[in-house]
Amino acid sequence: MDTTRPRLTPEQALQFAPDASAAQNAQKLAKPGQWQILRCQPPVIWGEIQGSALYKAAFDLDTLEFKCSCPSRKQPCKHGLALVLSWAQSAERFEEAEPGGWVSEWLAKRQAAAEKKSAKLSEADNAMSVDEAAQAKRLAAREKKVQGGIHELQLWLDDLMRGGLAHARTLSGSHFDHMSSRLVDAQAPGLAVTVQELASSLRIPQWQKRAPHALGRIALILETYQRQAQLSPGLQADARALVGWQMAQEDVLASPPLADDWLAMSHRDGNLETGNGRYRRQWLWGRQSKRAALLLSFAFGSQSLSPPYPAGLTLPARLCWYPSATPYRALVRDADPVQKQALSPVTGFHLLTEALEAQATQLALNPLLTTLPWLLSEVTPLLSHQDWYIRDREGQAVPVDINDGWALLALSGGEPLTVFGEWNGQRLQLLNAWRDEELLT
Amino acid sequence: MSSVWQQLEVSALLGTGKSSPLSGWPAPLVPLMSTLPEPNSSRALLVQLAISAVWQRAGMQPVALAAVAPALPEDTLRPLNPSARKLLCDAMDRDYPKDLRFILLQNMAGKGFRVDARHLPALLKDATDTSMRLLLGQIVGQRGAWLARQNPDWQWLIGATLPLNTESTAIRTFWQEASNPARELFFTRWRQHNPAAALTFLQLLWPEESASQRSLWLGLCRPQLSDNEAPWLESLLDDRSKQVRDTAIALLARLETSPWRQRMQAYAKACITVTTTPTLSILEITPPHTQTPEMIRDGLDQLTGQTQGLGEKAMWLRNLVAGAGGHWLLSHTGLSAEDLIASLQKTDWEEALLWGLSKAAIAEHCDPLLLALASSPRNVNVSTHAWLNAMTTPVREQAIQRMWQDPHKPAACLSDTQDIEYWAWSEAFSRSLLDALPQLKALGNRHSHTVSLLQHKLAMHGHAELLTTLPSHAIPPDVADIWQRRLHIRTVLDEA
Repeated sequence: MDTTRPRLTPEQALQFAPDASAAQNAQKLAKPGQWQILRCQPPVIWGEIQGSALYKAAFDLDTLEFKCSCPSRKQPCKHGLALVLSWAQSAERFEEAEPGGWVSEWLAKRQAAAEKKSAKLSEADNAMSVDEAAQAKRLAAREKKVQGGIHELQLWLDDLMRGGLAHARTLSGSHFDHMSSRLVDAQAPGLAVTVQELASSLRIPQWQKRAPHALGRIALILETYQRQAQLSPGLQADARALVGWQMAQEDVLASPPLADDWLAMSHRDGNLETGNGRYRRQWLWGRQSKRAALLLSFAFGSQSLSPPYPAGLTLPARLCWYPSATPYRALVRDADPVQKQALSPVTGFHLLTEALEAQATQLALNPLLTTLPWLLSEVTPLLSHQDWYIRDREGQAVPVDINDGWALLALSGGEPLTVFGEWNGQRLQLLNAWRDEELLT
Repeated sequence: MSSVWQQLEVSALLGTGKSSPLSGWPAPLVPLMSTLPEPNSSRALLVQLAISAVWQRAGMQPVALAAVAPALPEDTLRPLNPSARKLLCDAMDRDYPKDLRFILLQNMAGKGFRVDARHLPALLKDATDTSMRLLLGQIVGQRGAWLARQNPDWQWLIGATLPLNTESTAIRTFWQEASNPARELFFTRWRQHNPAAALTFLQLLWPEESASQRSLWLGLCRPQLSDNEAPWLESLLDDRSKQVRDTAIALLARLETSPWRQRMQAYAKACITVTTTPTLSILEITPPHTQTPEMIRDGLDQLTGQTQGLGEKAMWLRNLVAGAGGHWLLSHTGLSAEDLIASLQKTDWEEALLWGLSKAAIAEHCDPLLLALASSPRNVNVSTHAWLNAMTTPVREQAIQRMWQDPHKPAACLSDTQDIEYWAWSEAFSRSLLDALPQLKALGNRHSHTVSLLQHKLAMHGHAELLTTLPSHAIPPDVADIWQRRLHIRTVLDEA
């Protein structure tokens, strides 16, 4: 049995689940006796399971890719998930064998696709100067539309501010939906999202606190966008991205990559404010560079989000960043097989004042930032007045949001540990914590 | 800045038509704010909101909070080995059978292992009954005890983990400060470990406790009850609380040589006489005419609960028989258990006498009487499983086997045996249920739920080693799966 690859734990296997029902079904299908065949030839595992038909599933332990012959649109489906879960629970159930038939066909197809992708990357490097004039014309036309949308939004906001937010709260949803649609028509979908966020902020119990922030956010984006010429290229890119200008992935991948061993953190999924899709956020932490990278993926309609990297494993990879005054969002250009490396050497800020000073520095570079990745070491969790906090060794604390504070407290036992999360300016959304080599997801 | 932000909030809520000019800007922002055109316009307000939000966030400060002392290092319990850790992870899954999880935790306690910290919150949350709480007390270790102190809902664990050799002043302090669940757990453990010391402590704090609490603590003295505790129990017959007196009587009824028992036997002797002829024995029952103060003190007064339909004298008779004891009654009448029951059934006081006899047999674990009661037709409102549960294990198993094998009432035996309590089933008993299962399943859908409950008990408490000796077709797959897992638990925990 292969001992060079890190063994996925059942918890890590379940992190691939696209939703709770897939995870539940996979757990049933992973029980002994469910699979007709279970085989392995690392890095590939495969099996056959009887459902309404005989389904064939496979998984690559290095690239974390799934394959299944069932008609489900979920990615991964319950069969693929069950296969990986079976491997994580008891790899000894898998018989070593040479891949043949449909498995080798799948492997061959993947190899061909990888070669094609690599060739395409090389072509992109050479094709930068194609039809720049036409591109400039398209950009100018779009800019004109965006400016029209911005002008309309500014008039709409002026109107809103004359009446005040208390009055705005009495307006129907269509008042906001209409403005949002106009911005989509103006090819400024990012601004459309901010209008929906304002509408949402007026519907929650704490609206008197949240709505002024949402309003200020729209104003900040508009003011920054209108002053682009005076800003650094990075901040220009941030403002344009927030308005809705997207950069092609090929262009991002053409930038110089940074190679490192990236520790994968837990992912977080959510619904898009526009209501037509879902997103997945997953942070990676560079063990040498100490840089954080945000992988952001989207799925619309019946599409599935791409599977995440299992939290706690390390991905040796080359990453390329989207341009920004404070680059976080990145793409994986190419990667080597995931590895299991020790968690304890990965450290971050030891004092909260350091983290907050870093925040101030980042905000000075990019006032448009909403969320910052925080890696904090030697902190202890505690419960105070029914709210959870993280406290550093100097006694300073910040509030945290966490699914199960008691699990975190149990892990700590009152002793310091390392945590990772997203800081939104008021609270830290905890994603992971570890003490020695024990990881909490 | 916070007051400026509050002004901005108000302005934003009211609108530019009603808001007032803002003041109190932080010094670095004053030059910037002064460049804004039309200070009271919508545009200016929006820009002020934009800048202030960023400024406020950039200047955010943490709060100061006191630390909590960390948990003590683990000293006595050992961590799980990797295989056992994996087993426990599987056992914490929602779909894992709860009974099997209990068995795993029991095995862990027996081997001196402690639970991984990650599982502590889930285990503590789910522990609602005494047996689980006592078990957790043995396996949570210092980390678990520390964790429980942080959560008011888990304070009961203090009672399950406080060392039994704690110095008496500390015990007193614990007793004054702890919740009732915590005190109950501690007292239960103490009584098991050092019954005399626990009782002495109870006697010391007796005057401070409420009636309901006194009755509760007294009830917890049932394990390890001994004859030298009888004098104190006798003194409780004068307690002002009826609850306490009734509990004391229930305990005295378990002590064969207590003065109370002897008085009850004297009362019973006067009421129950035997006339013996060459061919048969006839019981003559003469209930007491009146209730004396001594009888009232000894508990021969009206009782609530299962008393409806019985007259006053019937109840006296019932309590007399219950108090005199089954062994004594057999000796006094010279009859066998079956004959005694048959004789009592011929009297006018059948229901009361049989109820009393049943209560006595259960309290004394009198196997001959329990067997006779379980197997004879009778008119008494006591469940068969109460008799079965009171029997000693070998006798119980024999009784149940006979019931399963009785071709006349297989369905009745199902309802009689479905509530029997846990014990480690012998190989022979397990085999007998395996043999009876096909017949029980053939009774049909009406009984399928009860049969499946029995099968579940077989899986959890049956002799799992039969897996290695019986052919696979002889064991239902569900049972085989659980037996496999039980054997695996033992193997894995033995590995360390």
